[in-house]
Amino acid sequence: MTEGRPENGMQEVVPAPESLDAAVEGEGQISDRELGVSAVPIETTTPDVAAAEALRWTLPACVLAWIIPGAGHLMVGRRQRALGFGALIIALFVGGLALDGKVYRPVEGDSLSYLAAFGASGVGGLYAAAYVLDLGDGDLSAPYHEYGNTFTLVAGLLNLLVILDAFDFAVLRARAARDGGAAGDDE
Amino acid sequence: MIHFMSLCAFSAAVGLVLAAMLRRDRHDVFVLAAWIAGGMILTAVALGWLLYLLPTSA
Repeated sequence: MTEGRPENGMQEVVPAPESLDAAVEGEGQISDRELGVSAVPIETTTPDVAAAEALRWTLPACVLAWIIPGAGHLMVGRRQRALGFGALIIALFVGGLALDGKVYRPVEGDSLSYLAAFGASGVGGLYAAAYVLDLGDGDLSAPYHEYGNTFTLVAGLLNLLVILDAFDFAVLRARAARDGGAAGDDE
Repeated sequence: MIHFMSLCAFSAAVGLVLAAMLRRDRHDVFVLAAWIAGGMILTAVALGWLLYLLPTSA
């Protein structure tokens, strides 16, 4: 006789348990209800909860990426990208200051300066530090002043793109958590 | 010379950041970064020569 089959050769019909609790209780274990846990089957809630948990970190990752270049990627588990982006953007900004470039600030009556200041402020914490330490005045007579301006401005603009990239990775991680898969390699 | 060095450093940094956002594989990142940086440098030099040919006074 085949194991698990009745002697008449028919497939034995096992009645499905009405709920997860019933199945668990049938094995003599403590049910979720007794433990005070929700009776909703855990298989259907876990991915959603994991996705919501991952999505919860999206905004903090973006804010952190704005304050410290690369930190957003570090938060979503992309260490190598975080180091690369952080090193390159900080080097660009500091290099711009070293070349006597200025950090653009909004000037009343000069509408373009607002646009430039928005771009330069993309580096967040570095922009604030340069502002507080009074480092971003630049030297108009320096031969590489314009290079420095470009470096500091583009560092901010690149960090704005990096923030969007960190946002993408955070959403990707949430989607992977919902689908029960991996978010990809940590490259 | 430092002008050209600044141009190369700037192009390399911008190329690497953009390529890292567009590609996942490390080899692909460096290839694309080289293309972006090379394109920026060549364009800058070409534009520089074109501007050099223009008259400086009206």
